[in-house]
Amino acid sequence: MKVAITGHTAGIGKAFYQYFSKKNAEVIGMSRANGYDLNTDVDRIIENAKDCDIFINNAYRDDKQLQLLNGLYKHVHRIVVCGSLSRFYPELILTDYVHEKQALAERCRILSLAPDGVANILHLDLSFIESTNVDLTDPNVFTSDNFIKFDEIVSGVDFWLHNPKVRQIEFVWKLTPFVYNQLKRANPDCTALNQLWNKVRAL
Amino acid sequence: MTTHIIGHSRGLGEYLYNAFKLEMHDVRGYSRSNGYSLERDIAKICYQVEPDDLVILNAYASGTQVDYLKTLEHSHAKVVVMGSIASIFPDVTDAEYSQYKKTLELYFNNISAEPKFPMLYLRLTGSSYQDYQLVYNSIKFWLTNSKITFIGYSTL
Repeated sequence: MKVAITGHTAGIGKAFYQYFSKKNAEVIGMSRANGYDLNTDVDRIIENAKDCDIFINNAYRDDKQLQLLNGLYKHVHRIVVCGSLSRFYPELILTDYVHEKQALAERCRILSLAPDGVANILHLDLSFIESTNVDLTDPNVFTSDNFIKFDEIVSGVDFWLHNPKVRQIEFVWKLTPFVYNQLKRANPDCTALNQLWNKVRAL
Repeated sequence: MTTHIIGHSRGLGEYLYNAFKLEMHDVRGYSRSNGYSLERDIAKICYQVEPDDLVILNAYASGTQVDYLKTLEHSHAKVVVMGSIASIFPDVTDAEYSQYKKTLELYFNNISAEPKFPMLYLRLTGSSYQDYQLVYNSIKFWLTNSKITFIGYSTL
């Protein structure tokens, strides 16, 4: 089994890299660290991933995930697309990121109708994921048990590998004080976020 | 832990009832065949649910799944909702059903943003295409990974 992963040196990409390595797959990591820059190297990534069995479309950079999906869905048997739950809440996160994740999910939905000869695609709606640079034991930083852990995401992909009719997996999210502060920092003037926060606090 | 299956006498509900029974689960099924009106007996059925029980909202029951969800809100049970692919690819021959499933999915999305209990939404394909074992596998998987809230399946 040959697997290519974008963004394999950190976070969930690294977790996927370790997971497939343990399964004795031939794993090709594609990150800036080893000369693959999503800003400039989309064509080269597509070319080098074409003969893989599985492509993990993980790293985000503008609309590059969509370009990679479009370039590979006719070549690779199975593709995992790391999307974002933020696509359901465009009013809370006022950035292009949300629109790009929406477009990516819509493309996956359309491709799920495609006939044979097209990759089996798993779309993951990820929420707030544990981060390698956050101390999960510090209560001032980590205030929620609703952060998604790497092994929980990897187990979702493992489930899909054994149950190939699965097409979409969503993870839970919760508006905790920590998450609110993160969103507030990114969107200081977002009225909808404040309204939701006040509603949640009143519960 | 008791497993409650709303609509257990045929199809997917029957399969799940038997599969959980085989695992020596305490399983209770609710259907017309054993005297329950799924539309009128919502409170009576939900009253039997204890904290940490598993409730599978399987039957369409004239569009009452949302009412079950609302009634179970404070039950502290684990709830699985059977949705439909009709929510995103409407069935033009049954607009009412598609509209209801869309509403159910939107309602679920709203409450799952601030969940009061573990919930799983399964967006099923047409019953004639659905792999019952896959649905069972999904529920079993979710019981070990409750941070998942939604699983969708292939339409092909």
